[in-house]
Amino acid sequence: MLDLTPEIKLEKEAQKQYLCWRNFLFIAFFLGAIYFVYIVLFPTAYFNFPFLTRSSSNNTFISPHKNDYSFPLKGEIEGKEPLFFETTLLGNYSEVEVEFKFSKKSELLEKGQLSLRKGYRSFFYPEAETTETLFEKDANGRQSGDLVSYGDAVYVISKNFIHPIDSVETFSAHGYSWDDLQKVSPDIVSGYEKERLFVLNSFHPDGTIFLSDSGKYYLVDNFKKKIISPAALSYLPKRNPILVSEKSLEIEESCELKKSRFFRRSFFCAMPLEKFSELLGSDFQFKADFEKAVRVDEIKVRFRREFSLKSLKGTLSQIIFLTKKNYTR
Amino acid sequence: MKFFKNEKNLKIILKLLGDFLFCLLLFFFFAMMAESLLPTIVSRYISIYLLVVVITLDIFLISFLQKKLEIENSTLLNKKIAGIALAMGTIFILNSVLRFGIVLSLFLTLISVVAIYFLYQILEEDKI
Repeated sequence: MLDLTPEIKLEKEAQKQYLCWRNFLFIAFFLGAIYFVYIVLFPTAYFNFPFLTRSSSNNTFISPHKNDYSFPLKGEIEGKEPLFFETTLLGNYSEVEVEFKFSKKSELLEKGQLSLRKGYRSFFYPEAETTETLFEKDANGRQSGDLVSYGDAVYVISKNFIHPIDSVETFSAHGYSWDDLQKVSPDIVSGYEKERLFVLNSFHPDGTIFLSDSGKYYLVDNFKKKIISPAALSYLPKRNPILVSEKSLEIEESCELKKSRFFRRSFFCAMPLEKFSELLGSDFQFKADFEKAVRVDEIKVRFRREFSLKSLKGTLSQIIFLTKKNYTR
Repeated sequence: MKFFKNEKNLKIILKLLGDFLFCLLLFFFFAMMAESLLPTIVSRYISIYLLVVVITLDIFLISFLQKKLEIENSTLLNKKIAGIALAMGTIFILNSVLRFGIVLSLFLTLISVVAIYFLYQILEEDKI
């Protein structure tokens, strides 16, 4: 038997006691290690948004909004008005659970529903009238929505602004193509006002062109998506449009909010994510209907992976991909 | 407390602390291995710093109890641990310089291992 401290001699009775405790320690360690491997292989993604500390850096949530994209101050939602919120997530997850914590000053729910869609956040913009005009080229010969690069940095142009894209994941998750990158001189980059980083959960900028799987072209403009008329199609920018699934707007999952067994002011709801696996885009848009005026203190979202071979294969292939990327960078 | 004044109990605790250190080092080795292959895969869930603090505390407790019970370190175990640590260190050094090309990586690793070995010898000489 492996004795790591042979220099310490014990009497027979003490040795028995020690072995008993040692077995307990090794079993606890073994179970802990198994649990750790489990949470690595079947991870849970957490997002939360406390309304009272809206600008806290700990908020891992996209800002909740009303129908008109305005923020519900202090989490106050008027009756019959839906609340929208979005999360961006890469990887395949099998279930999502959402928890609402209502303020002490709020009435409690009698009935409430939560629905979910998946796609690109900007593709969920309300549809506007058909447009015949597109964004024109600016003084630098670029159009809003163009991708440019200087050195290792990649930027996306949005009217007079330029956003540095933070990572390869962000670039790919937004459906951009490397073929559309235009190498430019530093003068061109400095010709625009530098804006904040373009991150995983950023909206596609104005001027973005979407092409749906049903063949429709859309233009993103001022929180709206406009169908591009057939006459204007010949003026489309030379870059590839962002491919979107038209079904992102139709496929929905929903669930009834239920009161928590333990906390009086918490309401839960869980939904499977199977329906969304084939859809393009990595943004999940939640829509909550509370049916009465309420005040929400906090929203918590947990995405889980099911304990299955398929899920395990997914995680392992992601780990292998990221490891390879780590070594080929 | 009476429990901690009993030499038998202290010896059991000391042996258990040694086993606990073994478990922690084993976990630390695999955690570092995974972390060097894919950064943040472990540190996303467990703070590596916290792990180091726990290991250090465990070593301090072991050394405190050894002094109290007047037990000498097992030199055999020390040599074994030093050998394992050197093997671990070699793997980590090689992994961290791998992107410089295989020949340069092997050369840098060899130089580092030789330097560590001589440093260890100097420390051992100082003890004598």
